[in-house]
Amino acid sequence: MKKIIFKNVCLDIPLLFNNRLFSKKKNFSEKLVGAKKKNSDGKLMSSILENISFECNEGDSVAILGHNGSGKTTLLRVISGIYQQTSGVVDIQGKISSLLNIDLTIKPDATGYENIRIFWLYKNKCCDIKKLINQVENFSELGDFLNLPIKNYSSGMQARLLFSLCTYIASDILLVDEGIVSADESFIKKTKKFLETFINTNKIKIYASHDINFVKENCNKVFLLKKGKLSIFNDVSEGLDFYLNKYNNVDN
Amino acid sequence: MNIDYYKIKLSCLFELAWFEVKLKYDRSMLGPFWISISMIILILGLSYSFGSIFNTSAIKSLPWIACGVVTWQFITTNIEESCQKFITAESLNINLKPIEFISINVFKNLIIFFHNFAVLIFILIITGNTLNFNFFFIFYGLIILIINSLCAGIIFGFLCCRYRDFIIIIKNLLFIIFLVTPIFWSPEVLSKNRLILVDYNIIFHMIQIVRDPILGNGISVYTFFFTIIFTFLFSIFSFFIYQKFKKKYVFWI
Repeated sequence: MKKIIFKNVCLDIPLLFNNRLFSKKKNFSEKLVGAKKKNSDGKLMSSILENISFECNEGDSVAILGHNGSGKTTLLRVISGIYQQTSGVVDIQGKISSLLNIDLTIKPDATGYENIRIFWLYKNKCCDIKKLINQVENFSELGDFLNLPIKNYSSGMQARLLFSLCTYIASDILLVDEGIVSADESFIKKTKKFLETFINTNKIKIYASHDINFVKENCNKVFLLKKGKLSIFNDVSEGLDFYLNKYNNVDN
Repeated sequence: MNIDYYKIKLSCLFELAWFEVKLKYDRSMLGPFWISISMIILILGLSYSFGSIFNTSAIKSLPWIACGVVTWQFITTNIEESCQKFITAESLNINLKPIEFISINVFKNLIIFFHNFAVLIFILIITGNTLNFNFFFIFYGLIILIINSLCAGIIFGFLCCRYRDFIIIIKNLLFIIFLVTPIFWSPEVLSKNRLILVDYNIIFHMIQIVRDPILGNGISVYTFFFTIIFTFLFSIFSFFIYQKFKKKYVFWI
């Protein structure tokens, strides 16, 4: 069984700055940027996720949309277990592979092959390494570049490598944070084709993305985040319609 | 099943540590030999000045200083690196527990320690010392050192992550400790203050539990009990610190 269940999850992140620099009544920004401000016991907090409840089942493919600082990445980090929620229940069943930040998951001095191995070690040797290398070689089409240090790659090539790694490593839940944006057209086409076959598998996929077309074609659920509050649309076109037309106008 | 899991986990962490050492010296011509060369230069320089200051023969003090410096290197790089460990945003993107980050660090320094061991053996042969059965006490020493390195890594890692001033404070303190502890000078030259500088100095005993076995002396009873009690209390303390802050530390990065 693969499942993600969130029940009334809240996440406050303490901001370790001089409190006097911030006004107590006003929020960080009146516009649609960033999260809400919160004061508890005189400590300045940023309340990033508020009362989030949802459930993802096998085969779901979810897009998380929202303005800058609405909590997309934070939500992915809570799912992947890096952040612990302040309150609420998080229940996750299944192995997670996450593609959160390309620059920081890899070692720039190591070669492509070494990075595949390092990534595999981070995942506790969960699959056959020879098979993994083979699959990544075929899918990423990087060829001899895999023998070069990653720092010589372009950002698109890094995205190719990491996307291939994340998809082929044995996992039940895939988290992608705007990962394939910088890959070129032909690779995106390839990933789309791949994802179409992938969409029918029973993995849970969660993408944080601004790319409307990608969401239209690949997802079956839309999560809209606005200042830490979540609204769920089970119909993609309805969700996108709301995101494009009403999202910016309606207050909360 | 649980034991298997930890076996795999340990081998993963060890291999990651191996990669870190490898990547560090990847682009240099001499590679890991730089570890040994810089160590030899440091040891020779210290023995020369120590011999001159206290008017003893440099050859005699060479093994003592070599063992001390190699062990000190292990302790100090462990502490210094774990101060920085959580600050790099790696822990925000790679889902490893804090103790796993620290273990990679300890393994890495252990690899370098064993690399330096080659230098030690070389120096022992040149100065005509031989190993004897007391050498096996070194396993006790290494286990104690590893446990304490893990504990210190957790405590200093969290502390420096929350309060960045401590990175600089600890760096400076370590240098002072290096000077005041009998690492490159022997406690026999002291005429007063022996209690604080030697008897109650935990760093000195941590070094003694590795140095004495190599030089062929057994571990003294006082050192044995001092280290084992200290390790016991220190690990309980760091266990509580770990339980309290392992979920919070990500917000301090």
